[in-house]
Amino acid sequence: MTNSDFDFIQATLPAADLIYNLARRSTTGREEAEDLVQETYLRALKAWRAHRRPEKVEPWMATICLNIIRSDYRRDRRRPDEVLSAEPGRWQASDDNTEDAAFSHIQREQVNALIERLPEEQRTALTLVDLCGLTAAQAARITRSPRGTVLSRVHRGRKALAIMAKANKVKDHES
Amino acid sequence: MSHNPEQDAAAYLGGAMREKKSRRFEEHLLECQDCWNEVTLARRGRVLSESARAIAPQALRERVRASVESEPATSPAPRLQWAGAAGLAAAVVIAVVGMLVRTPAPGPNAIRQPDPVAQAIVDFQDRRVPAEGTTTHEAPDLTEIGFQIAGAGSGAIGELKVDGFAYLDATGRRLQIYVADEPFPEAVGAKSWSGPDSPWTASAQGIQILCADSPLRLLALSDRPEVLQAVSAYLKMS
Repeated sequence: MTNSDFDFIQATLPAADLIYNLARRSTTGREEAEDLVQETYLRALKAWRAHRRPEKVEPWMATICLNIIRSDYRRDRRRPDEVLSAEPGRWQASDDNTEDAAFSHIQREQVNALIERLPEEQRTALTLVDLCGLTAAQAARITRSPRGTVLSRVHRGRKALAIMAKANKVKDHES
Repeated sequence: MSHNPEQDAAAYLGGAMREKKSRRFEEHLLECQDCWNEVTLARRGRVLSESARAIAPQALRERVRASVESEPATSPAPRLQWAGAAGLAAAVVIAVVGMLVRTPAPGPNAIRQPDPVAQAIVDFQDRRVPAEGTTTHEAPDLTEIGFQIAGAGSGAIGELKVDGFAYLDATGRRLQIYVADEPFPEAVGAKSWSGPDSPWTASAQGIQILCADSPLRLLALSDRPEVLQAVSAYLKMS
């Protein structure tokens, strides 16, 4: 591995969770999401090797990922109507309590299914801000939308999620 | 002041309101049921959506790393593409300097460490791991303490055959671990924990070093002492 490639891995691997979350919300299954993550990294590597280094890695990687999705990744693909199956990957645990962890896992599956039902623009905004941890300004640049529009989409997405959760009796830790 | 509960709540929760306006809105919230509902619903939605954050599986990280390692360079670096003979000569100089940097070369007043330890320090500083072959030892799994593998390879440090593993955590803290079949030489200035065969620690050129024979024969390096403390506790070194 060259110094440059090693630097690339060191700079970009911490963004793997962000890209994985984005990919999971933009594809139909885990395998497809993992392919998308890999494709994102390879395209980023190509740019890195051509000395196109970002100021901030996270929004840069998210932009590359979304560009792939927009360009060819989801061509002729449709999102399934059914609820996504349980995520085999590890989930962030809110604490070490086993009972809580089990509760959290079930709840996350339910929340994931609800997020899938949101309109695409709201889902993308919600994913970038709440799941990927980007700021509204970063999400605005990535989606080429005004910041106010992103804030509005995030807000509507959150509201819709809360309403659907209540209707489906999905609880969170605060309820 | 126009009253648009959805727009105001979105701006308030998104941090888009100036402090004075934000305070006014908070006062307004206490007397406006519509705005209160907007904020309460959106807050609950945020808690729900944030709870769905996933962590990329370790196997995926490994796959990404492997694909980067095996991805052939499609074209030479741009500097070499446009550089002429002078550029090429400069590139050769850079390459030679690079090779010199790879070789442990302590200054006249520096303490000379045994070759494997000195080479490990240089590798850590250069962010390199040996790259002569694939590893035969299993990489210590440190995901529980937040460290993911960023690089791996087999080779030698000094005369000692090792597998090298570079780790990173989400905050960018670095850790390098070498696993060997033969014992590592003790660093100059090493402090043993309890006796001749117990783990030892040392510090050299701003880098902390930890060495143990059990449960693995390993040499660990980091520029953050708390990282090595976490590793020794997690691996139950003795």
